[in-house]
Amino acid sequence: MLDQINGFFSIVEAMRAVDTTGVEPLPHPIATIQEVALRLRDDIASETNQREANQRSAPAVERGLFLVPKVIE
Amino acid sequence: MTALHDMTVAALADELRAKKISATEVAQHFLARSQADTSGAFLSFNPEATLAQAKEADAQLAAGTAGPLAGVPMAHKDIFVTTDFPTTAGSKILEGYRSPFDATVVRKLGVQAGGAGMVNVGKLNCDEFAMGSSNENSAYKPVTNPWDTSRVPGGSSGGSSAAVAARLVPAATGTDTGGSIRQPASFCGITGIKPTYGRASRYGMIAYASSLDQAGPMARTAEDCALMLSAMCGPDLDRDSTSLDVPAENFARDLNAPLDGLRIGIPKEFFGEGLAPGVRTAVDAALKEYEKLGAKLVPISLPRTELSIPVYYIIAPAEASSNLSRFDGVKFGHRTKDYTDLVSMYKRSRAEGFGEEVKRRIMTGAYVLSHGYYDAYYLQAQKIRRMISDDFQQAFQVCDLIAGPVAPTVAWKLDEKTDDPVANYLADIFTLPASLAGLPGMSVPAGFGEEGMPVGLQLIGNYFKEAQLLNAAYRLQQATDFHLRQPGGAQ
Amino acid sequence: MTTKSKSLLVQGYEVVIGFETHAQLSTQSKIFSRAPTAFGAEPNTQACAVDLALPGTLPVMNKGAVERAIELGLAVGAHIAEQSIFARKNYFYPDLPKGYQISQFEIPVVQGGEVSFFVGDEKKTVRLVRAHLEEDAGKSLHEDFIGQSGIDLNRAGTPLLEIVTEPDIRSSDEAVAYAKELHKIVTWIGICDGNMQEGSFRCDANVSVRKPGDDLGTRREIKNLNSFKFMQQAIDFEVRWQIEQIEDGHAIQQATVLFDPDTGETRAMRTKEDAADYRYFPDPDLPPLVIDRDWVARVQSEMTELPRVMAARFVTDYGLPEYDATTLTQSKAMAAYFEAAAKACGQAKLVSNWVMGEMSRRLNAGEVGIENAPVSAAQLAAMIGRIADNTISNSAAKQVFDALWTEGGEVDAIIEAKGLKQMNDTGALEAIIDEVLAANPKNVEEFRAGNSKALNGLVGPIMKASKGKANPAQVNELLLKKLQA
Repeated sequence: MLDQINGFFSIVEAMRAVDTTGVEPLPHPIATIQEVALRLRDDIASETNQREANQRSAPAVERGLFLVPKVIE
Repeated sequence: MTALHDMTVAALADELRAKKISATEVAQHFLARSQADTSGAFLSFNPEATLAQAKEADAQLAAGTAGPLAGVPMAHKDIFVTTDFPTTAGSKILEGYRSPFDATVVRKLGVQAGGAGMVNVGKLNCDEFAMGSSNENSAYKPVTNPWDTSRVPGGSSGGSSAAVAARLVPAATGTDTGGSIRQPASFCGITGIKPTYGRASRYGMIAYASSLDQAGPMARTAEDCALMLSAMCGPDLDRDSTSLDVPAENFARDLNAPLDGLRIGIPKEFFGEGLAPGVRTAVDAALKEYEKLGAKLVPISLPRTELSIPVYYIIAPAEASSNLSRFDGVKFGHRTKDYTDLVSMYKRSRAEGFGEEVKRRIMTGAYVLSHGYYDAYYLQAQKIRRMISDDFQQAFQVCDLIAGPVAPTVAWKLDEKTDDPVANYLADIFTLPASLAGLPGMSVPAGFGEEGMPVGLQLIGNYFKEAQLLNAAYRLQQATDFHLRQPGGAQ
Repeated sequence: MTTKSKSLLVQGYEVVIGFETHAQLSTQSKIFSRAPTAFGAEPNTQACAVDLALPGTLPVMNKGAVERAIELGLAVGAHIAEQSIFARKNYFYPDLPKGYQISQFEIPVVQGGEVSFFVGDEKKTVRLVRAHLEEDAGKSLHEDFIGQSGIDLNRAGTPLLEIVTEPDIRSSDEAVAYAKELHKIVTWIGICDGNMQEGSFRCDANVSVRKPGDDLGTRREIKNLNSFKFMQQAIDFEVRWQIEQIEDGHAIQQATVLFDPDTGETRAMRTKEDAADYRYFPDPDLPPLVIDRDWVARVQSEMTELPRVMAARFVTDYGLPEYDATTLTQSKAMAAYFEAAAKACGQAKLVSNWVMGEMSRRLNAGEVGIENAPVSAAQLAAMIGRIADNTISNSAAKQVFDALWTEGGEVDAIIEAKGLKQMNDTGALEAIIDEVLAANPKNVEEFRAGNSKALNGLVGPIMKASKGKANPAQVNELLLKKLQA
């Protein structure tokens, strides 16, 4: 796998050489043509308790808690 | 009487609305075909759920409350989460996963209130987490191309394109991040469209590269795509912050508009040495058709076309490496049986659950985001991305849409390219630029190339110009019959 | 000796502290999902699909969280960024469902600002670097499981404001005073409930030491200080420990440490993130947060009067010393109480003395907030009015106050019932004084001989004879007059 990853990085070198002075990254693809700002929703707690459905695919659950090997601080 | 599976989405919708056939018999027909299929296109079925949906569609049709595509069968790429079918994203890490909610696109197309009324026949195979161009990265099984079962159907929406080409379903959903709708559509001789980024909600679409992923329809005709796209798109302001607040459109409104004076830009970078002669011939012929229809071909340049490869293969894996961190065996998904502590649980669950290509991209992605490399790789790629986007805007000053090949070759043989992933990356060269810019792009059947395999023509439009693309595709399909051809042994 | 001249050096070392405080914002719903944020629910009943990071879920921003960030920014005089960016902080931990935390990195919503407070009677200002919005993680529970932990994601997604200071703090006293002041600000403006036991207000202290004039020393971070008392102990221990290490010739290693209240010591944590590279990058699921100046102006106009503004007003309008004004504005409730009482009786300084003194003593002892004080502002004002008009003496007032506090009732009725009216009739008083002088010739002689202390021996019997009702000031005045006659 390391060979394959290294092979990839050789095509990346050409990219690094490009002069991008003064160019800002795009925050959203459409930002090329229009401003895109974060939408804000009203502060309303509308989600009801769906624990059973949400835990349907959980590997290990006990008394509503997801079980994992002991977390050591 | 035309066989049901030879009917388009539009035709089926009409027959169903006219009550000449029932949604239940239609569903049974396509379910039987799909379950008998050996191409590997489908990953899961739930006949009970399918027939329940059909029954619901029939009820709505009787009551007059049905959506525009009520009772028409289709299938979803296994990237869209569904409550009544498992969702795997083509990966073992989600084997058996059942989502408690449906993707927005699933709800918009389905029989729930307000949906288009389509009936889901099953979940379609794809490259694992949408990473791949041949469907060979599926953790379950590869998919064979109906036109030549020794060849790949393309990817990552390989199951979708094969199912439509083999007429197992009249239409399917796909997702396109770097070309995953357009390329398989090209390889399988069907029509597919990726809309403007932000048109279709990503809520419920398992994320690969957040700033690139888009859902889109795959079907045999441009009209079918237009009908489905209209149902799929629309603002999802409450659930997806990248969803654009632009009104839903009837993308079929201008299908038949004349093309006189349409300026089609031909990027010289898309017609270089790497293009297979058979592909070039087919594409050139299609462009000639456009001239006959009154369009004007305009030479343009997209100078950073080649750079789109490293730019994409830095940005997409970077976002993916983060998006896939949630698969840790804690809340859902595969957990290894073989762990001694938390760290080994994480490592083994992910090592066992993820395939090689996914692991490769996660590693690459983490690397390009890492301290000391971020500026040189990720940030640099994002800046060039803007430049690529600007290049398109420059081009659109002198043309209305851009045309060229979808891929440098026709579909390759299974196992031919699995040893060299980087070679695979290079083949994405024509689809990546539009993905990076977030522009809408289509693949339209344009004939056949090497080994009699299908070749698609790519059409790229400016932001929000899907109707124009579909119009151009539709007119080509009126002048040609490639989209009506069937694979030889595909019954 | 004033505090100013007192050196803050510890064994010759300068202590340098910076604070990071995580304040849970008092929104109804989470920062990126619509699940409720109420404390104490059954495990995972307030963790929706988005909070659990189920495949396909996406974040949507809560306007209430942004508004509270703006309020904090205005309260500390900071710059509110017109555009700020959310970034992903990537690391693995079971209480972090996505495997990354949505936070802000290069461009936070609040930039700069400062917090001023008193340490003793000296004013100190701590500069803020920034405050940014981010989501809280879930919780791991260990008690009921052997070899395993139970993960509760109810808390995952609760909005946090992380408030970061410059390393301007120079002692544990300053640290606690800063933390208390910040706590006051966030509860005062109503953006955080300040319940430290429930984890609503968590402080991390970055502590280092150096010889004055040297470069900054290596710092260690004391995490999750959730009580002011422990904060002081922890910092004091850490400082002594670091100095000891340095004096013994050991270099300080950067580390994250926890304070153990049972041992009173800090110890380094098993490193979960110490050397971690979080691979921050702008979250592609969230476009930039734009806050236009109109919104800021609107929030500003609707904001409650800030404590420092109110304190300044108390100084100018009521002639209170800055110290009093600052103490009285420690909470909205106390400030309101003070103002109501002061306006009712017109004796601002007396009200201040009683509130800061007797009242605060009783409130702290009973662990009761001033909103629940048994003596209302009106009652206090009435009592103080009776002191001011000489109806009762200060010592009598203490009895009145005690009665009000423990039994309730009306001020005048209590004065009457307990016979606490001060004797203001000078005739009767002179008579008493004459009697006492006659009965104590020795004290009189000693006083006239030059021993002014002999007065005390006379005042006592006078007060007793007047059954405590004599006005002490009058007693002194008349007594002196007679003795010097």
